[in-house]
Amino acid sequence: MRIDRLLIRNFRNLAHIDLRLLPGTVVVGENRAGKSNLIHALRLILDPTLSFVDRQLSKEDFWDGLSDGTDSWDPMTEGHMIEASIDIVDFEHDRKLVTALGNALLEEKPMRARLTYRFAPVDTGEDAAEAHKYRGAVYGGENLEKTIPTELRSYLHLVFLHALRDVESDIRNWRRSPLRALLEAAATAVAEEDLSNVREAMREANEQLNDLEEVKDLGHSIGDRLVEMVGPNQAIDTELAVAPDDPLRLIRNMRVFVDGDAHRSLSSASLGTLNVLYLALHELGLDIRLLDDSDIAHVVMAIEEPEAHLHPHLQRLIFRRVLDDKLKTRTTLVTTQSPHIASVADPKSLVALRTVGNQTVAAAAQSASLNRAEWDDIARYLDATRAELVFARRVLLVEGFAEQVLLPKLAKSLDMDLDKLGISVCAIHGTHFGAYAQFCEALGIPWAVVTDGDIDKNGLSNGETRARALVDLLDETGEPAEHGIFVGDRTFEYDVLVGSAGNFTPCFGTLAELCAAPSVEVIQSWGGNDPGHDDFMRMINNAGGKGRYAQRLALQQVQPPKYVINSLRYLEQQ
Amino acid sequence: MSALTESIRELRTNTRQWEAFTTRRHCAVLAPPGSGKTKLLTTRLAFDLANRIPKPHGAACITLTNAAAEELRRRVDLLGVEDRPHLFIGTVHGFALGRVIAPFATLVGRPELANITIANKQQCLETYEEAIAEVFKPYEDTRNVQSTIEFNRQRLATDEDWALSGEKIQEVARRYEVKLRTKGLFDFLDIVTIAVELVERHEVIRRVLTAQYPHLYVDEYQDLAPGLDRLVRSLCFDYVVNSELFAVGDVDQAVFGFTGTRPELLDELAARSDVTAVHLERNYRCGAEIIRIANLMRQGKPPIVGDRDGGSVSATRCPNGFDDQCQRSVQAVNNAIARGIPLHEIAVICPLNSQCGQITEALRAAEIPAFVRGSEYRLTPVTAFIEGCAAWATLGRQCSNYRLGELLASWRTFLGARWSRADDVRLTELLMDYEKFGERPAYHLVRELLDLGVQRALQQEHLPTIRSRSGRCMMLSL
Repeated sequence: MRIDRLLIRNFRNLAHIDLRLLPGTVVVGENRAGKSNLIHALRLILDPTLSFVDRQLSKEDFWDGLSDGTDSWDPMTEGHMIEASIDIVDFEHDRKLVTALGNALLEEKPMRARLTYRFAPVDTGEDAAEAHKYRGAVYGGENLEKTIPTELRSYLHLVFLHALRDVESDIRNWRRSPLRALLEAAATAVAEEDLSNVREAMREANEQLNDLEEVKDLGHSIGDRLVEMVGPNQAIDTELAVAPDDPLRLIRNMRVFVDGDAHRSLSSASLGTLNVLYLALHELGLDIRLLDDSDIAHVVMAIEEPEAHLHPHLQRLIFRRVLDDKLKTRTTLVTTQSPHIASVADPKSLVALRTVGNQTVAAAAQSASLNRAEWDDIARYLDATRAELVFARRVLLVEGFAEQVLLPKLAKSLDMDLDKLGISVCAIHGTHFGAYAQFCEALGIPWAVVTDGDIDKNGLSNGETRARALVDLLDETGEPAEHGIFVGDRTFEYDVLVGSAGNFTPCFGTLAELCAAPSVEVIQSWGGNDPGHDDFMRMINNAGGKGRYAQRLALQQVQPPKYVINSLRYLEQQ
Repeated sequence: MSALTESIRELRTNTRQWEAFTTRRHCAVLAPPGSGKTKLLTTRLAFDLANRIPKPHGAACITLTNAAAEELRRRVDLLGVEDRPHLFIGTVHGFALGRVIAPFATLVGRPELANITIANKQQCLETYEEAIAEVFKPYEDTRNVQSTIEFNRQRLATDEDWALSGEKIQEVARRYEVKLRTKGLFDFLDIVTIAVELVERHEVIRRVLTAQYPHLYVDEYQDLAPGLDRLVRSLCFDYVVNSELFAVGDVDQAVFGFTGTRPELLDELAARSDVTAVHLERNYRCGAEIIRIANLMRQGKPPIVGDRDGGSVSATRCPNGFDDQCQRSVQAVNNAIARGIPLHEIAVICPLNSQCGQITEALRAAEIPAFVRGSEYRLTPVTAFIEGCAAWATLGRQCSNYRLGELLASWRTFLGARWSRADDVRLTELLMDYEKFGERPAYHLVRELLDLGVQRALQQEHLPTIRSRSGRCMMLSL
């Protein structure tokens, strides 16, 4: 089973969301972009711990954009409604799910079911509709009159892990503890014979302790004092023991300690450790329930910003596992602001939320039509770059390290601060911009490309050809620059050199600093004039390569060439 | 000991009942009157739900009339069965409409069937009359036209069968259907026909239904229309996934044969190699003398074994016609009353409805309260509710056999989305205050209930089926 689609209407800042989902989905977005609201919408449909009352929303939960702007406006007198629904597929082989979702079917072959939470006016058949009576309930399929009972919905078991939870008290608290199910399962599985051995051992231990003179005395004093205080008739019988000798109670009373032999209590563990422990216990508990219990058929994990207090390495390790889509019995949805989590996610499963005007727009990466090699390529890239691209407001795609280092500096000379503008310069180490541009497009991230002209021996601009091919790939027409694709004349470093008369001095100075004496002589022989593309590029090679040159040049004041200016201005407008 | 364990222990003392109870494949129980079939059916259902049907799966328990369904439900409740979403206990029509047609109509591309309105008796009659008037000349004898058509429809008759009835009757049937649809209505026979068509045609419906109801219990199999038999066969004897069938009935008790049902379907079912047939033979209801006489009339069938002493059968010759019979009956009833037998345990049986009317008048003239079941009003959820309200309000809360909580639950179901807490309060007030009116005719209560909301509920269009608190499906009409 998996959740294939999530639809939300008019819920808080989620005016209209229509998302395709994968088994492991990672939702990224800035603060207030609507990540928590998205999860809450999912909970309204599935969470068995939400009560009937929790499902009754109020007028503050309606999207502001419905308002006519007057103070007295009330969405509930207007009869507006809030809806959230999920489409479920791939469950035909599971008779339990067929039973639970049988009355929620949308399509028969293959089976597709829909569960819809709806907060809407109740049709009472009365004409006078001055004050609508609203009800929030979950319906199945296209029939919005028949509710699906909680009991059936709960076979899709939703586990919600909220952001800043108090892990220690959650583990301690018997009712909420993920440890509880595990201990109870263990207790029922133990053989009667083993239990009686433990009972015997425990009794012996208690007796031995009570045989110690000092302990005996203490026991007597407690008893005597009680009798002295309230008389023999009302004094309660007391007994000293380490623990009750009922082995089942012993097992249920077991606790988790940390730090090996030191047996430290959980309160001494770091918050990060506790988070890991909590997830591990939860996973184990769900495994047991899925195996033994007949009361759940599929688990939906909704995890809200789990990165708090977790070291980046742990984030990557744990979520690589949690998001593993091979687990067919589980659907995971994680919201995060952590590049570490986003970087280990399958790039197809990324969903970006951003605010446009007064509502949230959601974009799913999987809408990009890339082939498998291209997706793999993007996955490796995101993993290596810690997914910076995903969190950017705007992206400038460049070929290599040199551009990445120099562009922020060049922008500064235009009085543009790339960090403030939220522009990330991403070097893709090659000229295969197609996949990246489509990926950005799918996630709704404005992008621009800066690429070299690369004149071949016939004098043709490879860059120009590349740019036009990219326009075609994106199913667009017109000039590349209209779509954010900017092509230099020759090569980036050379174009910077000749881009402005003032650039000769800093460029040559930098080269001279990096080169050995013979090369320095050649540079001096140019007399501050353009030596031509090939000689200049050869000299950069002598100076230790483009990367080294660019890093050193970034310390100087240089003006950007025309096409770079155009690309930055273009992005600034997006 | 819990009610269920107790009931199972009792079944164990009867070899045949125990055999049926422990059968773990399709089972057909042939049960003569008084042989404890309802107890067997409900105990088996309760046991299976507790032990053999893990949630979320459920079971469907189907019978013919609302009254029988009500009784099954009551008995199942007494056995401590916990309700679950896919537990259906109700009538054939309730199942066809609420569990087959309504949930799947849109899915299989028949959205017009998702919310259908059932024609009441009067609407059906008028439509038949219109169709008959168009086809037949005024002087022709048309008395049997409607019953013949309904007989054929009940049988899901083939074209050849229809041909035997003649062209004119077929034409009336066609026109009747068109007219009913033009009015946006369906009748009860349509419901079964449509359900059969949907289930037989769409694998997805069979797959979901057999998952939701892996066990099917059918009561009074002999009286179920051929349509239901087809439905049962699709769900239980299909190639892919099957529900397990537990059917009880008695060919000798078939009382609806004249409407087109085919009691022999039960024999056919019992004869299948994949069905275990169990013949119950012990009668728990009647005295030995009654059983002796009954066995004389069973001619050639295995005799029934009695369980109690006593009983008496006497025949009285009334040479002076039916009036004389009425007078003697009144006398017999008076004798019974004198012996301390409560009124509701005395029955008078006649071959014809008109005779029932006559004898009722005779009883009433002798100041004996009498009531003809079935002739004055049909037992529907609404009429049953009104009976319950009346009993609770007048007989006292403990001895009425009705619980206020259940009455309020039905009340909520009738009112649907219009219901509010205030409605519950109003009904409770009405029933609790009823004593103060002293004795007065029942129609006052009916009027007050109608005013309180029953009237509104009955007028709701497109609400032929509603889901009650327990997820059961019922049909509204008076």
